[in-house]
Amino acid sequence: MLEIIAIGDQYQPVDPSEGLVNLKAAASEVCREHFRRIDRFTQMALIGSARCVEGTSLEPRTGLYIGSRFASLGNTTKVHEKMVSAGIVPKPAGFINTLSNAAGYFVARNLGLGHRNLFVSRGDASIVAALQLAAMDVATGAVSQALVGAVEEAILPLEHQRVRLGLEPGTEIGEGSHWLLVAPAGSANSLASVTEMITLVDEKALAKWLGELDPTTEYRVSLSPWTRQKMASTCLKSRQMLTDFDPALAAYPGHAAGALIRYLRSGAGQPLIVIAADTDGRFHAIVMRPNNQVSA
Amino acid sequence: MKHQTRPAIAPVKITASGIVSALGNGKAANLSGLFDDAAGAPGRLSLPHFEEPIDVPYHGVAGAPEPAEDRLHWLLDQAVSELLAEHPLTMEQRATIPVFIGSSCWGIGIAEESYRQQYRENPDTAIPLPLDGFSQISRYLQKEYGFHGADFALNTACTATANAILSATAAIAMGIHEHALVVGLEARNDTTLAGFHGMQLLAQDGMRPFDRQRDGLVLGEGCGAMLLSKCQPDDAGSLIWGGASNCDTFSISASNPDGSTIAAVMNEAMARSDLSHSDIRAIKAHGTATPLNDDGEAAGMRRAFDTVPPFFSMKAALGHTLGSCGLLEALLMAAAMPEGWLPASAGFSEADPSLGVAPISEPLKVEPGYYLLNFFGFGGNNSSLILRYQD
Repeated sequence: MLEIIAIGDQYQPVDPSEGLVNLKAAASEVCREHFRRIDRFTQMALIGSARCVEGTSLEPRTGLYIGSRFASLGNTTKVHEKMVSAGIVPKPAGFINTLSNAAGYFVARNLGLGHRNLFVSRGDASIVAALQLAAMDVATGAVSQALVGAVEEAILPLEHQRVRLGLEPGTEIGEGSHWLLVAPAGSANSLASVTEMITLVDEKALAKWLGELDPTTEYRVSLSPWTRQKMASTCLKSRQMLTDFDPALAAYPGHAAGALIRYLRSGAGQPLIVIAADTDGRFHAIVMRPNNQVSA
Repeated sequence: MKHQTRPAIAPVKITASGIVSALGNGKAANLSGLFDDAAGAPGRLSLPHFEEPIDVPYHGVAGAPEPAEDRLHWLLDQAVSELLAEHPLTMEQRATIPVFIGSSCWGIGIAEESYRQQYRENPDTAIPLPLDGFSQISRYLQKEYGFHGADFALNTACTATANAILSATAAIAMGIHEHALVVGLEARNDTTLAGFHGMQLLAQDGMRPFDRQRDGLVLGEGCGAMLLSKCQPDDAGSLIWGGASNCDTFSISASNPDGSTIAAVMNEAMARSDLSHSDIRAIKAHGTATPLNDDGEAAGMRRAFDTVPPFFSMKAALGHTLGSCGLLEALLMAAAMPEGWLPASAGFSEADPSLGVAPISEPLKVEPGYYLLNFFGFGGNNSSLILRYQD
């Protein structure tokens, strides 16, 4: 379906006593020009995407796909706080940055990408949606390769963030910008192949799909803390060929994308199944088969 | 028409559709409004929650409930129920077909209302953006109508549903699905209205796309739903024949005024549809009546075409429905073509010599053939679609 030919990201757990990490310097380091009035979500997108394609020559027909559950959460909450508490009309820069595709614009400008450029959301499975869109465009020739990212920004206070994410009190929160450069199936220099992306209507359908996997193949499985909350333990434990992969990431909607990259860096050779639950009872899964070309 | 035309990907048919907008509820009412010169005047809307009261022009939908969540659901109900009345999908079909949604507002109005309510009760504990706005439309389509398939909540500003149509077409072309549902929605909310007011982009006396006196846009509200289906290239009716999209990195809020990127997206849409410029019978322009958009679009059309085909904008009648305009305008164009006429460019009366082109001021007789539709958005996003109509 797709070959992953480069990866890169930026991730940090959030320590509320330290506040959010200031990303200005890291963003400036990867930018070809000085972007004024960009928000933190855009900074994260710029950093992760640049790390992914560093040393890579992008084809002219490269599409850009960003998946995110909340897009520019920090900027949009600031706009709403001022609007609701003080009746202040959004300033033009603040309003423009509430647009979900503002980050995509700056990434495109930074990397010289003038082709298809999409933002998509599907809760914690936004990376699945972004990869599916990329796969459609690659398959139909609309793009020759695709730079696909999951960007998820945390904001303080964390108690509010946990409410937004439906997480249990005390759950450790993270944030990250995880990127994959993907190309058509069979492309050279593949780090891994994405062989399946599927939406399953409920846990029964998930169990049925898992039951149809090759029982002689050893699979690793990654679940986010939110997905673990939503899934009955029997679904995985009853299948001996599935063993857990813990990417050592905190809870955030980009967990699935972070797991893909952590797994490739781990050097493990078994296929990885990443499962992300959404807030409507569905499950979205990706199957990735490494080609073991990534050093830890 | 070139009957041997072979687009890069297989075309898809618009099997069924539904719409609600400021022009009315349902396709018949919308078409009637689109051809009624007197129907284009916007209403006024007061936004009472700001430090100084704001009064804006607005093409709002009549009869919709006031609470934001009820309003969003009601808008969806009008469009989806018209579509399902035309083509009643079985529950098994609904459970698996992919759903491509485009919007600029998503659940932002619901989030505003919820936060405002919490803030009134206790400012110290109120949570801004307390919900996942992007999931609101999909959740309702799942819960109320059984559309549980893979959903794609696309937001590329004013090209969101044009891009949704392109992706839905690709999904069908891959051969995995027979059908795809595309939904576009723009519902009233303070963030958008105040944001455009703050950017000084709103025209107080109605939109005049490509007119010498043009001075901005009027926002609009609406919802549309379109069922796209696998078809044969020689099928009659309205087919999505192809399209393209690109990103203009000239400016986040305006296309390159030299028209180069706009010309490029139109040229790519035609190339991917295996069409030459002379195949295009007319252009549905984006036409927002802002000086920057209309200048760039006029320059793009002149750059792409030796002889610019007849063109028109619908936005003075509908309002600028932002992320949903791709679906609403394509849907209305497809609905108008079997009736034999496309509308004159609403709001236009005086040509602007600086543009070098002028839109049509009388309805255009529809002939079988190919029609190009333009959509441009903040963030540099440009999309062009090709519709083919055949009796």
